[in-house]
Amino acid sequence: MRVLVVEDATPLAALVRQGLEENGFSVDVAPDGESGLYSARNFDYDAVVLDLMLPRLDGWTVLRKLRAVKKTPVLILTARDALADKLKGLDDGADDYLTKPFEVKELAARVRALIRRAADKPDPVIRLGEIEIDTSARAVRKGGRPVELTAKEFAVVELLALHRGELVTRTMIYDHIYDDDGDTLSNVVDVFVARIRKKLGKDIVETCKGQGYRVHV
Amino acid sequence: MFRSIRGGLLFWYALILFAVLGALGATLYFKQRHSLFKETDAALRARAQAVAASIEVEPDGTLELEHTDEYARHFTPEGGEDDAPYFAIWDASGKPLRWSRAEFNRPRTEAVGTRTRGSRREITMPGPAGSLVLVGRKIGEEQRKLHEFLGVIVGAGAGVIVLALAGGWFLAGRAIRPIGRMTESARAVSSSNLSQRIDVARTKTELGRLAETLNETFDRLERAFDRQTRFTADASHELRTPLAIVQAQAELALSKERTPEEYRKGYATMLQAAQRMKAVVDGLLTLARADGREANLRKERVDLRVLVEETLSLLAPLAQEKKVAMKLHADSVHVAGDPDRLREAVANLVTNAARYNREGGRVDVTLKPDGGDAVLVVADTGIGIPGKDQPRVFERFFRVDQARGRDEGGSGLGLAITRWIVEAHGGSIAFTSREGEGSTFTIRLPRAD
Repeated sequence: MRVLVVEDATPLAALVRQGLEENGFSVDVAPDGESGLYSARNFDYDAVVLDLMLPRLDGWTVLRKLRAVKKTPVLILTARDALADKLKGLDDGADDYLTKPFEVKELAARVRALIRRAADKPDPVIRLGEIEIDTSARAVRKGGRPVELTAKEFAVVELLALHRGELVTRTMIYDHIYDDDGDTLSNVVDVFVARIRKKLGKDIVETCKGQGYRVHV
Repeated sequence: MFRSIRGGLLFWYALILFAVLGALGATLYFKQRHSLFKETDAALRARAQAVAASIEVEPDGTLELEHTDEYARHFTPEGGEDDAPYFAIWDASGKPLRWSRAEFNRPRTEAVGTRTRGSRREITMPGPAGSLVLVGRKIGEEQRKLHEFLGVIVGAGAGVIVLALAGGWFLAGRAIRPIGRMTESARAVSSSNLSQRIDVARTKTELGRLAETLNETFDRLERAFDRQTRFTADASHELRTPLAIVQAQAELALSKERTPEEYRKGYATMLQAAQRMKAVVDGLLTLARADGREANLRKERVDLRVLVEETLSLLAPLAQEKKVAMKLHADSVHVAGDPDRLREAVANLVTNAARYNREGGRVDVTLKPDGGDAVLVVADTGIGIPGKDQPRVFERFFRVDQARGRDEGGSGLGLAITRWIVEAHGGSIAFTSREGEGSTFTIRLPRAD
């Protein structure tokens, strides 16, 4: 899952990035409102973590302008704890509101919940036949026995499972598991899918020739 | 003396009314009495004159009363009708000569004039040859009328007083009712509901002005409260971000085994955040002391040039980091003040000038005497302050860009503190700025050369 963090306090942005990455997210950081809005508009992030007091463009403006074109889930992460600020943020289209200081675990859990709700699959455990994908614990079981997956492999499985029944393109997969810093080749996606098939069974992922992959319910 | 305005008003009202009505009543009463007695006295006097005229002096010096019987008929005979007039005559020696009532059958002692004796009115006047004539009659009827009149006056007066007091009670109640309303409104204004105001439209009298004055006071209170609330909220915001850094860093570091390099980096991050918090807390403390007037400024003779030179050399690394050229043109000027505070003020201005500058920009600091003032000018070629923000730059926690300077370690309190320091030293601070071209801050302090 790929998340955009719009935060101007550099050390905090780095910590949020690290915290989310260690929870299995790919993270991009935008240091001000303008670049944050640009990224959020031009890439399909699974969620945006947005500070309110930002240089160039404040968080509320970013939110309003983003909402005009996109429904990416937005979590406001801010030092402003007044009720009026929370109401304004949520009423302006934010999906969640978390005040600083915060627990990294809580932030990650809230972002995961946002993404599940946005995909209209609020159950954290996804079942595909005998395969169980626990998006909260980040674990996969096949026939009740745990299966070891790397973080990236899990990210691909999670993405396909969240969009089960739908076509998921290679670009989508690539965009969701790698952040901007990634300089990997696009055929890594095929490599990951091959490994997943090996661990979870050949029939789990269907290839749509020339377009991408699909997981059946 | 009185617990209620209404009671007090009524008391004085009643007192004054009583005095006025009393005086009026007394005047009327005595006037009436006088006019009643005037008629009686005139009749008695005429009769007495007639009696006196009928006294004849015999050649041997004795007195005789002419037409004695005819005159006597006008007067009550002894033991006769009580209400009829009566008379008595004494000769010069005081021996009773004639009388129509037995009681006058004794030497005269009475003085000349009129008098009221019990229920009788009597007039005494001198007759011929040293004789004395007294004529009198009963005045029961007049006295009864007079009593009746007194009763009317007292009754009417009492009625008027009662009515007036009832009216006064009502009017006083009406007059003080707005006070009651204002009291209620003022009581409703509390720290949790400072927006409540007294309805001025309903009270257009002197009380209306009182209400307006109170409302203005409430306005000032509300503004002060708002400022305090915003200040507290701002202070909390300023501390929350570094606190979030410390917490997130610690949580992540502890969540699993890390390399020593990662731990080192983590500590460095937390140290930086702690320094940020320290800067904010120090600034808050300074301002709290400034507000509390316990700042304890020292008063020393300070050579501003030395102080500015020291400060600039301390800030040289910042200028280097920001790639800004710092220049100083200073004459020696002395001021009286607290060198630590003054250094802080200068450092705040120069730090801002270096921090919000462009790469390759300049910071020009000049110090020179100007009449009775020492003038310190800090000019930069930086990003400037937009016109709309200029009135607010001295506000606590105000930042031109919401997030500007936070990463750089600024507390958002620097200019507020600087202004306080300068003004506490009897000086003034002003600035001019153009967005994109730079800002020039000027401090004037009274010289102490």
